[in-house]
Amino acid sequence: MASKLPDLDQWLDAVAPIVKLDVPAEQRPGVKDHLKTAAKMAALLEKVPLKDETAAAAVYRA
Amino acid sequence: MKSTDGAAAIVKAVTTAQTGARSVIIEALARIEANTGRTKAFTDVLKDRALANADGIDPALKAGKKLPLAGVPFAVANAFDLKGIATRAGSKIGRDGLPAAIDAALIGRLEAAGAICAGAASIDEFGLGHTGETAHDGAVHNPHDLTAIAGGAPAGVAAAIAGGMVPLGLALDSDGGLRIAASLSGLFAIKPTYGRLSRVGVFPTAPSLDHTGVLARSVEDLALAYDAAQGVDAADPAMIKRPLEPVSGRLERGSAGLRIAVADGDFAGAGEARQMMDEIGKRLEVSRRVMIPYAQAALAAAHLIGMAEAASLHAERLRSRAADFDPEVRDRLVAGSLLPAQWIERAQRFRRMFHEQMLALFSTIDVILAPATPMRAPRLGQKSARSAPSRCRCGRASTATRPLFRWLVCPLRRCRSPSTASGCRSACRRSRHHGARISRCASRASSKSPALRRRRWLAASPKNRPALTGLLPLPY
Repeated sequence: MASKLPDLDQWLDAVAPIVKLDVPAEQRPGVKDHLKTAAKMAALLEKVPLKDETAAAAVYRA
Repeated sequence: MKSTDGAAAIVKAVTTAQTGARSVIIEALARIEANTGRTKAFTDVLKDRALANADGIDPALKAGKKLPLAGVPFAVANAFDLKGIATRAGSKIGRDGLPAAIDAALIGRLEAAGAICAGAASIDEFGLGHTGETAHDGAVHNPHDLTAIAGGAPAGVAAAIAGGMVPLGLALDSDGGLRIAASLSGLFAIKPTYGRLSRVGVFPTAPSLDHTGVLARSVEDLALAYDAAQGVDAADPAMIKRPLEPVSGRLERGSAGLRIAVADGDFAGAGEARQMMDEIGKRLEVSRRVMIPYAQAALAAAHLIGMAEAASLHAERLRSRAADFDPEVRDRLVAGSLLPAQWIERAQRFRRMFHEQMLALFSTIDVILAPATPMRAPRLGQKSARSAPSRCRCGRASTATRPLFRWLVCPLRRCRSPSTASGCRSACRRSRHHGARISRCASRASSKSPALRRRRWLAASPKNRPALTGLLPLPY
């Protein structure tokens, strides 16, 4: 079942002030478009099973 | 001897005194001057510096010094520090900075080997784009077709090499940069193992994904430059401590003994791409096909991590100078600032699991063949289905190898296909869909536009195509 996308306006309005970013009206469509893509990608990742002991890999080593 | 010759040919001519390094660089500078106006490849041409360095090459050779890149002109993405120049990294903000005190480490490596930096080339703002259509320096035009993009972020470097202005270039690959530029401009590139080449003095894009690498017109030239660029650099925290692994002398071995497979599933390709991969597999006598696990999830994780890292990097600038960003880049960075930590952490945990899976795959395979991009070079200004510029989209959704191999500890080479300037069209379902949507939308949205009429006129006859001065003959 497809994940329901979050309310993008609510998301933007709630978080942008916390990180001290002003997002004027003309910028909102572009930002929301990227948020929508990010939400879809996060939903895709949620479907991949990961073991509890799988640690983050910020940087790889050969 | 001309800059349209390859690096290896220039080295041979200069080291055997058939020509002088100064004459090579004078010819290169003339081609840069003649072609940069139309391609917008270079943002800074270093004429005095290049001539001064060239004058030191011939005496050094006479004194017995070994210079494996003697007299070879090269370009660098303008994210690389060049002494005396503010590092703009494709941005308006960057050019307000102080001039760099020293060159980026890799520039020093190549110049120590006798190469000559001819200048800094245009890139997408802060490396955050895939088309080279920069808001501040103008769009870079593909030398093979001036109506098309050269591929980015390092579009200027690709245009400089593809247009025969220089035979080599250095650039950063974080989100497919080297591979997309090589694929769409008909070049070769190597994005080596993470931490293999120094990134010191290079403005970052997304630090845990940033790789420095090389672009060239041949594998031989690529190997020469890669060998010269190698070496440990303690100033780069990502640097891996491994001995030098020169590859130039190993090219003659060919593919004998290598365990090669063609990527299947999302990478199987369709139409032209499928034919091309089949042809390459046939020539290399490869019958094995492998599935890359979790390809779409890898794309998603890479995208989220890249968004978050870039947003963190530019957080203060977003607050204080938002109006000075390219609007497309700014919107992406703002969105990246708003992502939940849980998403990024899960993406990083996925990255570990994916890494382990790919290492297991590479325990039985040495080389995986896959298309570098799923498309021919898009038109400049081409819009996606949602009327958004394709410059932030083609890499996001449809660059075949982008999400996968930057995760790995193995190097990735982009090889020019035998019959096209583009990379192959990938079998990635999302990619196919996306590419088709771009084409359909461009057709619908602008069927009466001057741009479309011009494209049709250009397509009507090869004579209508704009040409560069002395452009290299197309090898395909």
